[in-house]
Amino acid sequence: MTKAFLQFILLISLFLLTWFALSRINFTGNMDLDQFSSEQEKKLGELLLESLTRSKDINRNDSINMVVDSIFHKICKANKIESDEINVLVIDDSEINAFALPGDHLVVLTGLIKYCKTPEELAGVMAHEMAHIEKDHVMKKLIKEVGISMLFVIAGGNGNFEIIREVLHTVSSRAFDREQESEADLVAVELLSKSKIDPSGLGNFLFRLSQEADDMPDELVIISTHPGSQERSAEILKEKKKYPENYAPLKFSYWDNRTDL
Amino acid sequence: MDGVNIQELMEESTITPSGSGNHVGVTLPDDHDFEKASNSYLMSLLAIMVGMPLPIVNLIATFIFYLGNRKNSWFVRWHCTQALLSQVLVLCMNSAGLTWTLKVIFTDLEVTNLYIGYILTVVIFNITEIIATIYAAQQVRKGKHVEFWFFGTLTNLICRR
Repeated sequence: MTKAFLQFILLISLFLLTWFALSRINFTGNMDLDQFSSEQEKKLGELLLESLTRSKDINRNDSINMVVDSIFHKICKANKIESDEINVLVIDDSEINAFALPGDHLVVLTGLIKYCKTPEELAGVMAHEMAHIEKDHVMKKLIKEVGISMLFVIAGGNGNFEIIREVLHTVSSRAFDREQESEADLVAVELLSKSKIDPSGLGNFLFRLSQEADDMPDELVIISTHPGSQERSAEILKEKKKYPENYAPLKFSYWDNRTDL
Repeated sequence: MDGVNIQELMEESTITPSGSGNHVGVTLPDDHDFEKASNSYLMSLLAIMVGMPLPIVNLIATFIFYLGNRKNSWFVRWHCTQALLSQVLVLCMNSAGLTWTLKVIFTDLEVTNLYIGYILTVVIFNITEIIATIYAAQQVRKGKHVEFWFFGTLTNLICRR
């Protein structure tokens, strides 16, 4: 019996060792995220941000920035996230969208702020994007869509304006994997719940997106980056039940008078 | 794999031919038994070929063959059991490989180095299994008792005289 057991262990070990050894060979030609240093990621983020701000204006409205910053800091504080590590930027654009850039930049477009019915909806979208940052989804998506060789070229300062703009387009208007979106939703619910912000805001926002997608095809860029919104909305409301419901409503005097957007 | 001539094995062991003394009677396997035992490996080999796309076919085919031969002599039963047990490992490996492949084809799952590494490992183990099976079929047909590493030990525990 002992002999059979030992032989079984050896057989399984042989199988696992062969698998491990063969997996070390780079068959796919893809390089790991680890090979892209944080400095290179930061440089890439700066270049993309520069490309973004060259074509669009940074919003300097104190009231708008105050709302966004308050929500951001509230989430960071409750979840022990270093707020200094993430750069939050509000950009003047009618597109209903928010996205994360490499190097921990979170971009919120004014079109999104206008579209959100409650501050909780905006907080939900921001938490979702923060989850993408926390889980390193941005770089994974870029490596998959653009290829690490091209990213090395851009981060090395050898990418031309057109290439950088194309990468920016990929980051801002192409969807993450369905699994990454679901993961970001779940993390967002956790971030929001710990911050005492009702995650229903994110669920309602996604549900509304799915209902209104046909009426506003041009502005709703976010729908292309967030597919399956209706199902995800249901998942968020289900996930929310795991956390205590001790929410404090977000109140901003500016919110109901958003006529300047 | 250990190849032992069954005649020598019987001579060295305490087992005696049927009807001698007080020992439990065991009939020496004849050419017909060698052929049947050898067929169990050929059956499993055929099942591997047919069952490549759907691994469960291997196990079902070998199991049916095993059921058909369980009333036969110890020699035939022993080799049918070893052939069946060696199929279980292949079934597990191939099933996992098939599930993974289907997920890669039909879902967002990516082709990773881990996936390719797994498929290659499964291919290596399948080839080893095929070679061992062919060897066992040949040797058993000649009347030699072949024990696979691990599966032979396990068969000895399961298949008593």
